[in-house]
Amino acid sequence: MGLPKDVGHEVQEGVGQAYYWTSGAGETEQTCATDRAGYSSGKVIVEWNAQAVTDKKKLTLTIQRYQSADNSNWDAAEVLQAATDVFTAATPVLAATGRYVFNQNFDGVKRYVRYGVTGVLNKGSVDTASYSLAILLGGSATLPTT
Amino acid sequence: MATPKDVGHGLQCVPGLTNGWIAGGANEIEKTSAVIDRAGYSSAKVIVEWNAQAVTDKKKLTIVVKRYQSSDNSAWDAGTVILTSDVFTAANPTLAGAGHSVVNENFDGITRYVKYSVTGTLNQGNTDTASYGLMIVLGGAATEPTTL
Repeated sequence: MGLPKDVGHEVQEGVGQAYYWTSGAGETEQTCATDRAGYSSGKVIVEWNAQAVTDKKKLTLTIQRYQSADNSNWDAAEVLQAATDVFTAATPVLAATGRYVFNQNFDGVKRYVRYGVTGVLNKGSVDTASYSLAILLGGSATLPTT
Repeated sequence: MATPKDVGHGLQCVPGLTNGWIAGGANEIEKTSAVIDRAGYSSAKVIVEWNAQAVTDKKKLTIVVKRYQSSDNSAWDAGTVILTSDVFTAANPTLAGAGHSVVNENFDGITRYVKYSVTGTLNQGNTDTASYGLMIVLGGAATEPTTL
């Protein structure tokens, strides 16, 4: 079977997020919710950037998914990526970037999904980092109307 | 025609970037992705997630996205602006906002190697903060590419 030439063919971006913080402030989970009605699968892309990290200190990321039938009452978190030290600074390398891609099969998953990222820098108040998360929905058997 | 159930079918996520900054800081400059060898792929979605995290009243966040292309991964063109937008202007009491912008890319006539950049600008001296992420998804392969 030939594939569509257009990547946009029945592929839809959901609601994602971007976030920047300085260690010691705002290191809380940031979440974004998407209505996946009509879509049977997704790709969740997380880009991270340890922008300035003190020698021997690290950036840790945790990524979770929540689901809800009504966009109001959310189930307990499911861990996509347990707390992982994605970067540890070692002079002279005090910055780094990377990413995760999660393929999501929505069989048995409720209509609303929400993804959360928690980034932690284990340095007092001077290190900085950022991350962003995007959701690409696809696999609709017919073009969703919602 | 039934479409594949798997969004990953024929799609390829390639490295993007993310960046955060304080207005006027060292990171308020153009940031460029790694080089993408798009051989075999005919289109892409370029997704920019942005977050105006703290913006002074009446000040704004501007995002500019450019595409560079090269046939040999060595000599690059001057770049083409594919998105420029004041994505957020603060108005008391709304001093923060988030959203995303998407550019659908048709690679007809585009050379084999591409890279994308984002420049985020806050027009406030040195107190406002913002962040963005750039994600690139290639697709439209008529056959499964062998070079990626």
